[in-house]
Parts: sequence; structure tokens; C-alpha cells
Amino acid sequence: MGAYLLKRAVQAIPVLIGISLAAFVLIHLVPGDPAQIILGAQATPKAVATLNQQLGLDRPLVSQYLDFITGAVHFDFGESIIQKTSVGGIIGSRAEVTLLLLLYSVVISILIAVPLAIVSALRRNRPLDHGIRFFSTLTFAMPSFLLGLLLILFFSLQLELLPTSGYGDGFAGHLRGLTLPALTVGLYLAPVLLRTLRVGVIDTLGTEYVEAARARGLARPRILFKHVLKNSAISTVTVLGLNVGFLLSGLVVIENVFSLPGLGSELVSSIVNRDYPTIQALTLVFGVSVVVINLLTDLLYAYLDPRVRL
Amino acid sequence: MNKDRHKKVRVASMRTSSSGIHASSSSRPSRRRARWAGLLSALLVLGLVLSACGGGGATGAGGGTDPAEGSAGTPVKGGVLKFARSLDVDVGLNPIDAPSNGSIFVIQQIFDQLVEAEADSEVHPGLATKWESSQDGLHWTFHLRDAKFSNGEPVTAEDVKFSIERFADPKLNVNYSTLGESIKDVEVVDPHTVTINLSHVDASFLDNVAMFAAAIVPKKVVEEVGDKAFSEHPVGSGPFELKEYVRGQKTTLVPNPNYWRKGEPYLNEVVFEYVPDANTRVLKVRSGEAQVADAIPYNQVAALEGTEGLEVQSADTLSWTSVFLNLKKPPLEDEKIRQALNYATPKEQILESVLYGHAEISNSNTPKLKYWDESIPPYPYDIAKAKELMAESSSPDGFNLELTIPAGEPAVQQTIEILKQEWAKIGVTVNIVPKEFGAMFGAWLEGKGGMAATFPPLALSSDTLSDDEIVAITLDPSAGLNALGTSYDNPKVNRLIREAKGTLDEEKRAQDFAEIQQIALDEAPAVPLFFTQSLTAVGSEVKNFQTFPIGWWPLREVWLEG
Amino acid sequence: MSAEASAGETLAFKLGGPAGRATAARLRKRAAGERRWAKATLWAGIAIVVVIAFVCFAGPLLGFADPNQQNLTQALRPPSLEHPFGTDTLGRDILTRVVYGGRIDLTFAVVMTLIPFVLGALVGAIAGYRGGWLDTVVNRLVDTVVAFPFIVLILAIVTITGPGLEGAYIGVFAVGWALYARMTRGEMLVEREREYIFAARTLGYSTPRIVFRHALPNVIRASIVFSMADIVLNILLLSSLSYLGLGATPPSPEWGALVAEGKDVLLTAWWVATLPGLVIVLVGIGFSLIGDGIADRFGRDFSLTGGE
Repeated sequence: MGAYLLKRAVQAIPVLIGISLAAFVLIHLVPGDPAQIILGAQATPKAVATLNQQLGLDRPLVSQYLDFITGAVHFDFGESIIQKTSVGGIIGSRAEVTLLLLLYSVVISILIAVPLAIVSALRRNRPLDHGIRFFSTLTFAMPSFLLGLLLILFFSLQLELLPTSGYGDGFAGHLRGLTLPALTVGLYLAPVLLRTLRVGVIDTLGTEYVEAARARGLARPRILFKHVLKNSAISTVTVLGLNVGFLLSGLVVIENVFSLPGLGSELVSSIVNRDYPTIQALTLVFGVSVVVINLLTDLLYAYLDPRVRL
Repeated sequence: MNKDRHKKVRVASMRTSSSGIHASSSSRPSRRRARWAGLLSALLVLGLVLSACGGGGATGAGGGTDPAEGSAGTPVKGGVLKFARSLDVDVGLNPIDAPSNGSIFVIQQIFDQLVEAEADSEVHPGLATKWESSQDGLHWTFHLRDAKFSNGEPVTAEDVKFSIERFADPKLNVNYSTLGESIKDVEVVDPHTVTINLSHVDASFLDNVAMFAAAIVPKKVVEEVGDKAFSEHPVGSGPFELKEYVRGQKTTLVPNPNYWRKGEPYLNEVVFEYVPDANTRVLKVRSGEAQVADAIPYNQVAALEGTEGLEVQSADTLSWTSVFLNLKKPPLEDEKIRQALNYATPKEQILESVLYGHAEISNSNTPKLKYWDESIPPYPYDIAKAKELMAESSSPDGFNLELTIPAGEPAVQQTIEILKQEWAKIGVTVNIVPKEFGAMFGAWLEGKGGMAATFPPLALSSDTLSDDEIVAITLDPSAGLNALGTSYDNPKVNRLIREAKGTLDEEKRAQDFAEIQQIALDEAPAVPLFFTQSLTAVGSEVKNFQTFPIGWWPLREVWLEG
Repeated sequence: MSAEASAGETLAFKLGGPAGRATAARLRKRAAGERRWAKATLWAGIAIVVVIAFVCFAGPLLGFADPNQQNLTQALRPPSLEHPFGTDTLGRDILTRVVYGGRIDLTFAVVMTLIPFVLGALVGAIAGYRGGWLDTVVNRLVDTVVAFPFIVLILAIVTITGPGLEGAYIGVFAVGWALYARMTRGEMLVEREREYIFAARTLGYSTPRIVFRHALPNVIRASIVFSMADIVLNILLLSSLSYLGLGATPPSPEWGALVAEGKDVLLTAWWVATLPGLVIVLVGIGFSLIGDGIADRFGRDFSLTGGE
């Protein structure tokens, strides 16, 4: 096990270097100068040059990159150009929001998808099945910001159940603030899960040993919960793992609509402001997250399915 | 406090024609009906049911209202003001290094300057009770009042000297160094008097020293903790002090117990919540979660005005919108073409359709400042005259115009789309090029940004009440910005700008600026559109709220009723 | 026939007797009904997509005029006979804009699914079959591409390339192929152990022939099903870009731009954003139905987003 983890870690290194290098090159290709953006209309060439020097942006690119990498290894990501505070601090406080949102969304999507998948599988190809899949496509295919706004209109304005935006105070406040955004993401994720789960349930139901168990007279619910769900868990985990990468990117829009101080909105604003250190750090963080999640997925996979050997 | 805002019917005043917001609704829409309509529009998503005309009857156009004037009653102490804001305190709270309105408007609540800019065009006493200048205008003496910082320490002449000299130091005051460049040094005459010595006569000096970057900071504290720490834990003599700052979320202010204006502020607490999405901001103030919301989109003003318990204040700003032309790109070097573009611009129509009346038609290439001449007529919308000018110009058959606009600004986009349609009538084919603001702005200022560009509504604004700085930046290439990217260069205008700055004669200054305004308008290095207004939604329980033209709000005067 | 039904049918038949045979007959009928339903949904999906595509691409022939024709006195009118989808802030007919916008979205979505599909499937199939260093290199590359935060890539590219959809095309191309490569490679790893491949090798068939004629058709099944969802995801990507202000150039009537423009008047004129949004949903439903139908035809249900 330890050897396996080490092997994976070693495999991840070229990937991470590749990502950080690509990000560095890419954002320096983007036109625009952070000093100029900061100074705005007062941006005389002299002022821009002074600021650039103060920010260390006039050094050769190679040394800027190497500085970043050596710092990153020690978890020192430097200082944000715009916010003049440590990038690590910014990421730390915002990561909590994004992670919580992600977790909450996954929970909601599972809560929606699992019962519907079971019903859909049991009534396979009957009207109910088609109906469920039809309505799930509705929330999957709708632009997320539109869905989010409509949910706000409904739950916040009409029903006055939940806040329109913001992260809230205290854990309870956070949960309340994250409910609508998590619902928006969950409604997008659920159809994806639904299809996989449905297939898993159908397949498992059709296997011989389930048939045998049924012939033996075992109650249906017991069969479902014991065999079916456990096997479905595998495919759920796989699908979630595959989608998380893109999910992280999709959170950007959601965080904007709901004014959530997470990593997604930070990423957009740092790109807009050419806040190089923050962009690089965030890219690395995202990349590491995807790698870690892939690893966790594989481990979970192995745990759930004894046939799989790492 | 989560009051639901009932909708009410307002008699349609200004516009009944174009905006076409539900002309129906003769009956009073009840809360139930509004709820039903909203429920159905959500069901539309869930069940593909077409609802009736959604949203009930938000009719009429309130138009802009005056800033809440004069207290309707006596101020009541207490209460928490929740402010849904479009910007966050993003660059810290150190006055010397905060080039972003997100931070600046909060800095104004925490710090004082020697003199202060308010709603009119003259400065008022701040930390200085009175001031006088020497005959030659090179020595300004300020008499300080008794005031204390929020940490209990008195504001002394040493603090003033420290702060102003930092303001004058281009290495420290990187962002606004031009505004402090005329200051040579500061003398402490006695603990309550300072004299600021200038290196040359600067008519805009008094207005410049009223800006936030010249705020008075406690010398001991700044020297002790350093600028970076001071930015996170500011100490000022203003009406409020910082209680809590959660980056990207909210900023909380509480009263400065040592504030020199006795009795103020009235509020117990001010909470700025960062809400970047405009729709969400509007929803927040409609649901009562916030009592104030700024940067209201133009098309939501009427609906908000029609909501009970809310009003929308529109206030003048020191900002303006223009389509800037690059005189180095043919055929824009031809003055007739530039004038033709001005004549072909239907400003009234854009004002009505896109801005719903919430702006003022511009008659100047610079914003409405102290020496703005009202009497100069703007370009009228005259297609015939425009065609005539084009026929006489160097490109009578028209040409392609590439126009760069900032991405993600709906009002700008719609304005330019109207211009595209109109300018096509005189043979000018507009290619709209939306670019991310960060990518376009720098390139444009350097003259490398294409043929024409326009910016987001409040992106360009003056930082002081005097015209000098902004007129120089806009029309004089020696200010370093290529005349805002246009490469306009008229020696007569440049001379007038220098003359105006170098004299304290008010009449001469007014004359000079009026002349500059006329010449610039005639020579048309840009197509000026509007003097922008700020739109803020304010709940009716919030008393005495206003927005200064310079952009921020005197929250010390605000009190909550009930 | 569903697994359940067939197993049950066999069991019923074996248990014998008239009751058993009747049960078997009932199950057979149900299976036939299910097949008819499955066929119907596939054709329904195809019908939706074809009709929408036809209307969009044949727009002018059907009487839809200039989508950019402004009419400021008719701004923000609710849906009516004259304007079935209502008008927007500049008085333009929204249905016409949806029709013309469809060309942009459908073209982008289909093209940017097809090309990455073809490229990715080839790369993945070859890498998976050959193995060795080629496989390792491709694997690392795919991992890197997938791990790179897509939003950074797309924002950066769009900012570099400037206005219009070029950036979106490049960005999706850069990342899209990796997904298909990964999927086909995974399938190929399983497929190449199969007997018929072994037999083909023994018979001396060349590698290209084995890969392309024999293995590929089986290996790309999951990818085909996924591509249907991918088309929808591409359209949604355009709408997200428009929300951030980095999508198609105004006054382009691209669907995402329509929804993004409409969100600003959502509270006063709901139709401007919601109706184009519903069109996107409809297209999504169409492609999903096609995907389901294809999956059913393959005999094995495939999940919507690859992996199984």
C-alpha cells in the first residue's frame, strides 16, 4: 500500500510540473500588465515602471518561475499583487468555502440521484423511467447561472426560506448560504449520477445471484440495499471522480452568482487582474486536487471491489 | 429583519413608450398575485408551464430621485446598516496605497483629510478649521482642530506633516503622485498649525489635498507597525473604525468613540457585504436582507422604485462615458469624420432605451467638474449634417471602424449596438470587439489598442473636484497617457491647461476651461456620450443617505428609523 | 429484452405448465413493449434535433429576417402572436435571434465534439493497443491535460485570442481529445485481451487492420454515448463564457449570449433569458434521448459520462 502511494506520488510530479509550467507560460502570454491595471487611469509609463519594479515583475521570466517553484515546495506561494497579502492565506480561507460547497453538492446530488435511480431501474423502460430521465435532463442542460437565479427567485424571494446570496456566519449560517448554490450544482450533477446508478442497479438486479436470492424468497429491500447499492457505489465513485475536475471549473460561475468567497471567484478575479502569483498558486492547487481526488477514487474503488488489485 | 417588499402601482411619469415594461396592471397587484406569478415562473423550469406575464405589474418609471435631503425627523442612535456592495475592500485600507474604489470608499469612513470634498464643488473643513494661502500662492497654512484617532491619541501637526509628506513622495504615493507633485515640504508651526510649501503655484492644490490619499494617519502607529500591517489594521480619526474584515465577504465598521463631530455617527454598525452579481444585489435589497445596494443596473431601477419601502437614488458622479477615437488610425485623423460620428449619435434615444433616463447628455470631453460650462451645446442628433460632413471628408464612401468594448458590460454593449446601427447610416461599418478590460486598457492608453474604444461606466473618473488633473490626462499627451489613447495634441489646449493650473484667479480658470471645453468638443477626439450617474437602492428606513459625486457616502450622517 | 424479463421468462417457462407459459408470454410482450418504447425515444430524440437544426439552418427560407434589426419602441415586449418569444431590450425579435443563434451553437457543439472525438479515439486506441512507452507518454499527457483547471485554460486562451469564439474552439480542442483518448484507451486495454483479437493476430493481420477494422468499432461505443452529452456540455460552456462576458461578439445571437443578456432583465422581463434557456434544454433533451437510444441499441446501457 505504501509502495503504491509512493508510486502514484512519483507519477504525479511530472504532471504537476507540467501544469505549473503551462500555467506560467500561458498567463504571461496573455496581454495586459498588472501594474497598469492597478494604476488605472493614472498609469503613466513612469508609474507603471516603478510599480513593476516594486512587484518584481521586471525580472527575467525564468527566474520568476524558478522562484515560484522553490517557494511552492515550501508552501510559500508569495504575495498577491493586488491584495498585498500572502497568497497561501487567501487560498486557505477560500478553500474552505469551495470544499464545503463541493461536498454539499455531492451529498445533494446523491440524495436526489439514488432514490430516483432505484425507481428508474425498477420501472425500467416504463413511463416513469422515461419521465425521471426526461426531467433530470432539464436541470442538466440548463445554463447553471440561469438555474441558480431561478432558484433564488423561488426560494429566496417567494418562499423567503433561504438567503439570496453570501456565505453567512457560523457553521449553520454557512450551510444556509450554501444550500441554494449546492442545489444548483447538485441538480446538474444528479442526472449524471442517475444514469450511471441506474445502469448499475439494472445490471446488478439482472445478475444470477440476485435472481437466486429472490427465488429463495429474500425480501426485495434487503437485496437492494445489500448488493445493489454496494455495487452501485463503485460506479458512483468513478463518475464523481471523473467529473470533479470539470466541476471545480463550473463552480466559478456559481460562486459569482451567489457571491461566495471561494476559489473559483478568486481565480476569475485574479485572471482579470493579472495577479500572477495567485493564478499560478491556484492552478497548482486545482491540479493537485484533481490528482488527489483521482488517487482517492482509485483507493475507494479498490476498497469497494475486492476484485480490483492496485 | 426580513420584510417582504410589496409592489405598488406608480403613476407612469417619464416614459410610457419605449421601455415597454408591462403596460397592463390597472388593478393593484396583491402580494398573493406576485407570489403566484413568481411561483409559476419557477414552475416553468420544473414543469414547462408557461406562466402569465411574470412578475406582476411593475409599471412606470420613477426616474431618478433626489438624494435623501435633510432629516425627516430627528436622528435616532443605533441600528445596523447592511450594505450590499458591488466592490470588495480588495487592496487593503492604507490610504497611501489603495488605488481601487473598493477600498477607497471604506477608507473615507475611517480617515479624515485636512479639507474634505462633499456634494458641492468647494472643499469643506475637515481636520483643518480654516486655512489661508500666502500672496504668491506658494505657502498654505492650515489650522487644526482638536481631534483624536480611534486609539485615543490626539491628531497633531506632526501627524499631518508625516501624512502630507508621504502624499508628496512619488515613491510612496505611487498611484497618485501627480496630485502631490507640487508639494515641496511641510512645516510644523505649532502643535495646531502646519504650513505646506509648494514648489510652484498649483490652483488645484486644495482640491488635491482633499483626496483620500492625503488622509491624516498617526505617525507613531505607521512607523511602528509598517504599511502592510497598517493596511490590515488601520487607525484613523474618521467617524468609523474597522471592526472586522473578511476578505471577499464583508467588512464591518463600528463608530470611532473619539470622533470629533460630537454625536456622529448615529449607526451602531455598518456591514458592507460583497455581492458582485447585480441581480443578487437587487434581490438582497428587495428581500430586505440589505437596506442599501449600490450599482443598480439601469433596467431594474423602475421595478425597484415600484417596490414599496424602496427608492433608487441617482446622483451625479465625476465620471463620464465616451467613445474614444484613435487619431493615428486613418481615416480618423480627418476632423470632419469625427464630427460626423458625433452628429450621427442619437444620445437621447440611448439615454431612454438603455439608461432609462439615468444619465445626463454630455457636452464635454471631460466630466462635470468645478469649471464645467453648462452653456456649451452638445452635438445634436443630425443625420443629414453627418452625411454632409462625410461627403466632404476624406472617406465619403464610409469605412470600417473597429470598436473595442469591455466584456461583460450590458449597458455599454447595448449602447454600442445602437451606435452600430446608426453609424451604418453614414457609411461607417462598426465591428464590435469585446475585450476583457485588463487586456484592452493598457494597450489602448499606449495607442496600440485599435481604432476606437469605450470603457465601463465608472472606470474613468476624476479623483478631485478640480478639472486640472482629468483635463490634462484626457487632452494633453504630456500627462503621459497619450490623451487617453487618442493621440490628440493641440498646443493651444495644452497651453491653456498649464495656464489654468498656474493661476489662482478663479475667473481666468473658468474662462480657460470653458475655452478648452469648446475647442475639444469641436475638434472631437472622441464621441462624448453621457455624464454618468450612480444608482443606489435605499430602503425607506434609512435616513439621510446620499452619494457624493466623488463616489463615496457620508455614512456618519445616516440613521435608521424604526 | 431486459435482463430481468429474460431471466424471468426462462424461469417461468421452465417451471412449466399453462401458468408458466402465460407468464412467459406476458414477459415477452412486455419486452416487446419496452423495445418499442426504446425505439420511440431514439426517434423522438432524432426528431427534436433534426427539426431544431433544420429551422435554425433554413431560417431565412422560413421567413426569419434579420436577427439584429433593432426596434427601440418595441423593447421588452412579452411573447405575443407577432413576437412568439417576445422582444429584448433593443426591440429585437427573440425567436429570430434564437433561430440564427442556433447555427452558431449547433455548429460549435457538433464540430467541437466530432474533432476531439476522432482525434482522441485514434490516439487512445493506438496507445491502448500498443502499450509500452507510447502508452505511458500518452497517459501522462492525458493526465496533465485533464488535471489542468479548464477554466484557467479557457479564460487565458479567450483573453489571448480576443473576441469571438476562436478561443473557445481552441480551448475545447485542447482538452476535449483527452477525455476520448482516456475512454478509448481504457476500453482498448480490455478489448485487446479478447479472443477474436488474439485470433486476428494469429492469422497475421496487420496492427492497423486489427485496430481499425476489428477493435475500434467496439472500443468507441462508450465514447459515442458520451459524445451526446458532450455536445450539450459544449453549448453550456458557451453560455458560461457569455456570462463572464467572454463569449461571442455582440450583436451575435449565440444562445449563451441571449441568456446572459436576458439575465439582466430577468426580474422584469423573464422571457428574454428563460425562453432561449429552454431551447438549450430542449436540444439537450434531444441529444440525451439519442444517446440513450444508441446505448440501448448497443445492448448494454452506458453511463452518460464515460466510465462504467
